[in-house]
Amino acid sequence: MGIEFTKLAYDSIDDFVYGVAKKPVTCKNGMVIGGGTLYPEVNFTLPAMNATEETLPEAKRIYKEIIDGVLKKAHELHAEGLVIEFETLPQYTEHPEWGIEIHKILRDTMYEYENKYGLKSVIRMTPNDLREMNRPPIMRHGEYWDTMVKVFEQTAKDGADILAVESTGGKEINDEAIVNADIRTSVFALGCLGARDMKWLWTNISQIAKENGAIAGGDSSCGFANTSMVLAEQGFIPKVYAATMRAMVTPRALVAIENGAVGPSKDCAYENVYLKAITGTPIALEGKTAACAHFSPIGNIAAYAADLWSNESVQQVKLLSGFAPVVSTEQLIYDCRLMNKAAEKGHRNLMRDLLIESDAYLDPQAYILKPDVVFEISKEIVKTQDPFTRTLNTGKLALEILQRGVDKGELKMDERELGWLDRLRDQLDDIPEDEEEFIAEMNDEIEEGKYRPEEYGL
Amino acid sequence: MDYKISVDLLAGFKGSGKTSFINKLAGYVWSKEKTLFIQNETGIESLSINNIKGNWKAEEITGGCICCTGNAYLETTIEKAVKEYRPQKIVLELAQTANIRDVYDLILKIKSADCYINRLFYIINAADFYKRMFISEIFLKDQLAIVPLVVLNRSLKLSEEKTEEIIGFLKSANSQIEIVNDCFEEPTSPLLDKLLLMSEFKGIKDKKSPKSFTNLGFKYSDFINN
Repeated sequence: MGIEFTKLAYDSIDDFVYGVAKKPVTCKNGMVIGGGTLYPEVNFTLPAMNATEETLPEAKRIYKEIIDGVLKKAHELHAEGLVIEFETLPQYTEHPEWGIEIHKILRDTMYEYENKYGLKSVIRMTPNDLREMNRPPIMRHGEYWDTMVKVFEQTAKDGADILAVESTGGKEINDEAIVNADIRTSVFALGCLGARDMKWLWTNISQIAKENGAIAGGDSSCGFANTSMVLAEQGFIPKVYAATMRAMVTPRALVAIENGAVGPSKDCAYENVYLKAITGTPIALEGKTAACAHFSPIGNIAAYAADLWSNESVQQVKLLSGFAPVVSTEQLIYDCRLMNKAAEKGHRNLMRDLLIESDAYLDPQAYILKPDVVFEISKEIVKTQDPFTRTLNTGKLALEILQRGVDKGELKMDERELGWLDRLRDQLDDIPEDEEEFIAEMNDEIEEGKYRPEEYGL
Repeated sequence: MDYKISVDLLAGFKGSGKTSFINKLAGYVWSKEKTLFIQNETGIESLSINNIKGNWKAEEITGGCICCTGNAYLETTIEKAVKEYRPQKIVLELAQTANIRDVYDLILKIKSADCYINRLFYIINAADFYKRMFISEIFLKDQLAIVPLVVLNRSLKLSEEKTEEIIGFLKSANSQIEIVNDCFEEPTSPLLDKLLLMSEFKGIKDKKSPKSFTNLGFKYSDFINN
């Protein structure tokens, strides 16, 4: 049985700030995430190239070049510390020995810089969730799960500080739901399937972390909420749908922490603000400095409660000044320096409020991240322990709050988006409150063979 | 670079009939050159192009998140296939979330050959049009602005009035767009010539942004009721 959260970790919004978490995480080298200092988290990847055995020597050379450049820049800019994320290409999880080798290159270089210059750094190891490569996915066993376990175990043994993943349980159903702005099906994918998978997955990852001296960091609803956000930015789906999804993914994400994850959870999980409000665990976030990876309407507001500030990911390509990961490193370090200085001078809350106010009223996806909204929705979530009910009620409340924002004249929304408030509300109102009844209805509606119920314990 | 590859793109939402269109036309249009078919989205129908004589190969890209449209995978797949297979022509069936503008940039960046977009077919399922416009109006409008030819599929399922209305919407997004009804089993020679001529891609020269469909006086209640 996991942890139960029945109330928020915070009594007051005043305490809900960047750099400080109620339950900070201390890493092996003494770095404390959420202990008062905001640290940068740098993520990088190869330029477009095939990831094969033939190209592995070149890939290793490139990763070494990247980490040398990033750490050198961090040292030059007097960074207090930083987190490096190694998010593998699928091939580097599929062939675990490749991913393990590259992790070692990064880790050893980081140790060198710590020993030589005192630059503290920790590494977050994020293999791919390969389970979705089977269609329909096989979630609880099989070769793909086995390779993921190999990567987690060996990299932890080799010194990976934080274990993380962007898990995909429920995604095989939700992908179609997103492109059709079908929030009913999203409730099923998140609340019935995804939450079940998270419990199984994070029970296992937490055990692996414990046995191998690593921290079970956390997960992300990247393939759910971020996909919605990116498609909304392109006008493929309404922003109101994406904003509602952002809140609705929280109950699924919470299951990771209920089953052993302690943070910092993944940078692309903008719903992390909800998780921090409920659990007090530290969180990574990304915003304007992730524009190298994707655009978003939440560039500033995303930072207000971050304990790690990330660039999401950037390829090793040459820009006018230098290689892109080094550029990102500089940008993140300056952001963190500014925010830490504001905190040191007693202006942490003012900085936080400026970050919020600059974005909050211009887009529903920003509005849904405001701290008062986060607290209101989080309180609703912890009223019950059942992920399906939590997901459904979160969706309904998110729409109510967006409507309230429009009615108050606070939130700008065009006519096209306004129509979607009613439409999505109707979809949610049609969902029965009984989960079993709902699952039966969805199984009649969903194309047979789209998912394997037994892989979700159904 | 001496090695040139012409690329024909097929874009449109899932279920619009992109694969069916390829299957129908393959023997007529894509059998004269060494052709690589790349499918970046799997729908109900599979590629069934065994009626093509000559040299061809098919690849399917299944990786990548739908929001990234698997761009990284697309680029590496094309580079690899170009190096190994050396096609003269690539026929690329895009994922429904793919932005043609991004794919255009990607094609021009291919290092292993001098690739250029030769033709662009945008396939629309007329029976699904109102729903798609309701959900994806901004995206659809943006894509239509650069599309030379729309193949309107399943328009026989609608009344002539509705079909005319859809054509009106399409023209309001791009006054120069050509529209052909895909009501044929086998293309006649004049129709084929028309399709090939009208689908020639003339580059991305963004015209003045067209009015929103809703600003043309249509209400969302019109769409919902359809």
